[in-house]
Amino acid sequence: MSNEVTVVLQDRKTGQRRNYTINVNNNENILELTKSVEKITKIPSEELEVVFCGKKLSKSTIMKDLSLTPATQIMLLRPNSVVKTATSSSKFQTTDSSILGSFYVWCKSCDDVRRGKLRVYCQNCESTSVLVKAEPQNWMDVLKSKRIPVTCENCCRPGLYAEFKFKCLTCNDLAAALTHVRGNWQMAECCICDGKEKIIFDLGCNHISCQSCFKDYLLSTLQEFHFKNRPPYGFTVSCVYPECNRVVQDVHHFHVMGQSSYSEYQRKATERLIAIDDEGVTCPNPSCGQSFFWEPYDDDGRSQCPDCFYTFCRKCTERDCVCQSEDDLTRTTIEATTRRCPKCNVATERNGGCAHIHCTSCGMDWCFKCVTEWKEECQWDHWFN
Amino acid sequence: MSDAAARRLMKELNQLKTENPAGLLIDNTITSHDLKQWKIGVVGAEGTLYAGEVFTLQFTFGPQYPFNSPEVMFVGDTIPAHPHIYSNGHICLSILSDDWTPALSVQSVCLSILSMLSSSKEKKHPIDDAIYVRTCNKNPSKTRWWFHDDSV
Repeated sequence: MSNEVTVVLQDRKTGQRRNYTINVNNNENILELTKSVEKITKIPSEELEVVFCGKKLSKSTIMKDLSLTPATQIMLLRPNSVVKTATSSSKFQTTDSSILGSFYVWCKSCDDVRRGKLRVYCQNCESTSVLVKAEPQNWMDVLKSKRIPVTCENCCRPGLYAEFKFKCLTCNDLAAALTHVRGNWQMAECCICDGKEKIIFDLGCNHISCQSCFKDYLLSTLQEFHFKNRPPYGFTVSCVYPECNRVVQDVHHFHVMGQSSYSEYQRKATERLIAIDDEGVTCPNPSCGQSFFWEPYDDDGRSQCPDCFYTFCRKCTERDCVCQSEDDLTRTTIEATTRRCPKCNVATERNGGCAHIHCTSCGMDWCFKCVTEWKEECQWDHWFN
Repeated sequence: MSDAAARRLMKELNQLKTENPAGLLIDNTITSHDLKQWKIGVVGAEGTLYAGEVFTLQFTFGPQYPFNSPEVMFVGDTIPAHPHIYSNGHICLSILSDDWTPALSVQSVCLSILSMLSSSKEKKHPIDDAIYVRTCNKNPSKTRWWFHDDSV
C-alpha cells in the first residue's frame, strides 16, 4: 500500500525550508524515503536526518510502524556540517518502531478502548518539527506539561518544552490516554472470570481484570453508587482485589461503562461532592436537580439555580421559606434523629446495629457514640450503647 | 443465572472439590445443573469455642454474581452463638455487603467466617438479636449492617 506523506525539509546549509509530498510504500524504510527525497531535491540521502515524534529515526525504521496518516508531517533535517561525526549523531538517540510503545486510549469517536499513538508537538508553535532532549520515563512525563525539554526546528526558541498528544490508532482522532490499561503480555488470568484477554486493566498492583469484568464491576458499583471520594482523584473505585487500596486515578477509564452510565456517574458524583461541600447546593426544583456552588459574598440564605432560575431558601429548600415557622418538622426531625459524619458532615441515622458507622458518602469509619474516628476503645466499649 | 456466573461458579466448585480446604465440608449434591444454591459445612477449629461443632452455611447466588455479593447465612438446627451472628442465621460480616469485591469467592467467604468463629471470646448472639430477628428482611443482603469489624 502506498501513501502520500508530507515532508518538511529544513536545510541548514542554505537556510531554506520547503515542503514536499512524497509517495511512499508502507513497507519501505526510512532509507528509501530519503532516497526518494534525494531524487527530487538532489540532496544526497546520507546528509538527511529524519525526525519524527521528537526523535531521530534510524534508517531501517519501516514506514508502516509510524502509523502515518495523510495529515502527518515528517521532518527532514540537513545539518550544517557535511561531515556527520559521532558526536552529532549521538546527541539524539536514534530509534525505530519502539517509539510507538504499547498503550491504550479511550477514543470518543470509536466509543471504545483502542490502541493509541503518542505525538509530540512544540508547546510554542505546535509544530511537529521537534526533537526531545530527554526520553519520557513515565506517564507523568507525557501527561503533565513542561516536563520534557525540546528543540524546535520551526520556531527555534530557547527553553521550549514538548506537548504530547494521544491519538487513536484506528481513527486518528485525539483520545484520552488510559494509564490503567495495558496489553496482557504474560497472558495472565483475570482475577474475576479467570479468562485470558489481550487487553487488561491493572491499577498498578498487578491485580488484573479483563475489560468485560472491569465494566461489570463499575456498573455494579454504580448501582448503589459505591464510588468513594479519594482526593485528588474524585469519586473513584478501588482495585477489585480484596483489601488492595489502589484506586482508578483517571475518570476516563469509567467511559467503558457506556455513555448513559458514564453520565449517571457524573451526575451522582457531582451531587455527592456538592453534598459534602459547605458552599455546594443541589437545586430542589423536581424537574431540575442541577448542582452548583453558591456565592458566600453578600449572602441572604437564598440562592437562585443558574440552570432553571428557581429561587429557594437553602436551609428548608422551599421557595417560600418555612425555616421560621414552628411546624418545620423535617428540619427538627433530621436534627433530632441524626448525627453528622465527622469528616464529610453528612446527616447519618442509625436505626440498629452497633455504633461503628462506615460512612457511605466519604468512606470514613466513625463511632456513633463519640462522633469521632472509630478507635480501639470504641471497639471494646462503644460496640453497643 | 447468567452464563458468566455459571462458568465462574463451576470453576469455584471444581476448585473446592479438588483442594478440599481444611474445616469445610463440600456437599456432594451441588451439581452443575443447579448452581443457584449451595450448602457448605463448616467445622469449628480445634482450640476454639466451637471446636468440633459443625454448622451449615447456605449460599444463594444472584444472576449478577460475582459482581453482586452472594446471600450467605447459617441454616439448619444449630446456629452458632456469636456476637456477629443472629439467631436466625444472618451474619454480620462486611465482605458480605459493603466490602464484597468480585475477586472474593465462596472459599474466601467460608474461610473468613471460620476465622470469625475462631476469634470469638464468648458464645452469645448480638445484643439487638431479639429486635433484629423480629424486624429484619428475609434476605440478609437487604440489611444495612453497621458492624464492620472482622476481628471478633
